[in-house]
Amino acid sequence: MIHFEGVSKIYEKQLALKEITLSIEKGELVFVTGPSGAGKTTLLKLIYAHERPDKGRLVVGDYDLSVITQKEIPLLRRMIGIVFQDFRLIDTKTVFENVAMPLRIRGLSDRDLKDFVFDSLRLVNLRHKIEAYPPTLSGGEQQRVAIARAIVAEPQILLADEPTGNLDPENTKAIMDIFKEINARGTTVVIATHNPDLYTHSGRRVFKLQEGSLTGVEVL
Amino acid sequence: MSTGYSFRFAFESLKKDFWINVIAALSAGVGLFLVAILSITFYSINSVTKKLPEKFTIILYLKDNTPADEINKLLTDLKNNSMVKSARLITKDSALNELKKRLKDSSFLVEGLDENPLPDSVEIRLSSEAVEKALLKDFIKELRSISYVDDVDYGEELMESIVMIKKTVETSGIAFMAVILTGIVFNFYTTIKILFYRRKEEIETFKLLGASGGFIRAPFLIEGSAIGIAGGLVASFMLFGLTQVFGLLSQRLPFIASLNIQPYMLSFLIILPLSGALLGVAGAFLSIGRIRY
Ligand SMILES: Nc1ncnc2c1ncn2[C@@H]1O[C@H](COP(=O)(O)OP(=O)(O)OP(=O)(O)O)[C@@H](O)[C@H]1O
Ligand SMILES: [Mg+2]
Repeated sequence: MIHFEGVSKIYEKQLALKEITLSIEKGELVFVTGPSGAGKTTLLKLIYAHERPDKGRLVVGDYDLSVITQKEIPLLRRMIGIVFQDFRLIDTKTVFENVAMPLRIRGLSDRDLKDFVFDSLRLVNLRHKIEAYPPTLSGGEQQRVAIARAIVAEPQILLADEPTGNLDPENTKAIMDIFKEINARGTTVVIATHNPDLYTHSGRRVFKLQEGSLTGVEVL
Repeated sequence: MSTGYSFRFAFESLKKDFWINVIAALSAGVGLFLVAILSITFYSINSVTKKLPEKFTIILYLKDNTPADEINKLLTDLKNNSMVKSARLITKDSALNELKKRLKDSSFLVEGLDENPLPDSVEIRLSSEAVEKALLKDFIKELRSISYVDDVDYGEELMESIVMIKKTVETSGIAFMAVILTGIVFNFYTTIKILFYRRKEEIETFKLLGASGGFIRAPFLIEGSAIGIAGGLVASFMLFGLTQVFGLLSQRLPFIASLNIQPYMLSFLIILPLSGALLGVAGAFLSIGRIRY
């Protein structure tokens, strides 16, 4: 599903990723870990074509990202659900509208998207906050809205960047359960985190990054 | 694409930045009104000058003793010419009578003449299509070259200066219109730019969520056309006021009534909002440019 072959990413002078080679199979749930600045977010950004590789080959689904056209990028992104590290919620729209956005982008009408949005918000336990605006929510609640938005369109790939950074242990467990369930339904899930609690005893592959290099892959 | 959503997004945005939009619509309205006025002015000038050649009369003075059948041939030729509305022979006798009539009390001036000093002449009236100056010149030249035509008389200078004035007004008017129209598009361009930049972050997020260029553009194109229509309606409203004034004037001044520009003005009441919409969409389109991912 996702194949990196000697992929490097350089920001101006900063080398963010160095010759990364890794493959994530369809239906897998994997973790990407490493200290702050190791390149976790950059790795995810390459997958949804927010950044382009400077070197190497990157294939996501049917798309070769070094030759992807402008027209194809929205199509690529519609197969991916993303929980952004900084959430990227739209402050001027209600929780409902935020979560509905990916469906509107796919052309669903109000009537057709309603149930999906309600289901998704129920899953993250925020059904009661439907009319609230993001700035009035706690950090953890905002994070859960971001998660609801990422899964609402049932994407083939789910990328979650530090998805539990603002959550208490109880909510963290609830969110991890959601990810596992979505994964069990066939979605490929990639979780970037520096919280070892998420992946220890998970039985999943963990990619370890250090200063832009892949230093190891372990099943923990 | 969910059109309903694009419209809602657009109208939310119109409401949110209400005053920016009102100002944009008003200034576009004034611009469109000016363009309409210019266009109506052209139309009036055109309809006045169109009738001018009819009012021009070309007089051919014929040489003495031109044979009658040559004159008849000339008259038929002229009548077959599409530029000519009518051609009439004025014999030297009728010309003299005419002159006597006009002189009335002073007719003693011509009373004593033993011989009629006036030549036979042909009076030619032109049809409206002959306004083309070059054509008219050629025609005059042709007439002059006829052997038994002694002289040709027509309001050359007047005609030329009218044509020149008309040309100057037209050229400068078109240039002025182009400037105003560009200004209107630029006005929409900057307005949409502002609205677009205000939502830049939101739009970035839409792109990351997989929004197509069309999805991102649609609300702004709708906004542009809405502001354009509003501007057009402002212009229509002003113009409607003007038609009322013209209506009143026409009752008193037959010249204005004869221009018959009221239907033309009224057609603008529809044209203005439509062209406003078009210019608005054009401005919005230019303003957003290409959506880059
Ligand atoms: N847009 C950018 N321009 C320049 N440098 C950048 C940019 N984004 C990231 N970097 C740099 O690239 C490196 C990797 O950043 P990245 O965000 O991928 O790290 P991370 O592993 O996600 O860190 P964290 O755990 O703090 O989120 C860092 O040194 C960062 O400063
Ligand atoms: Mg990061």
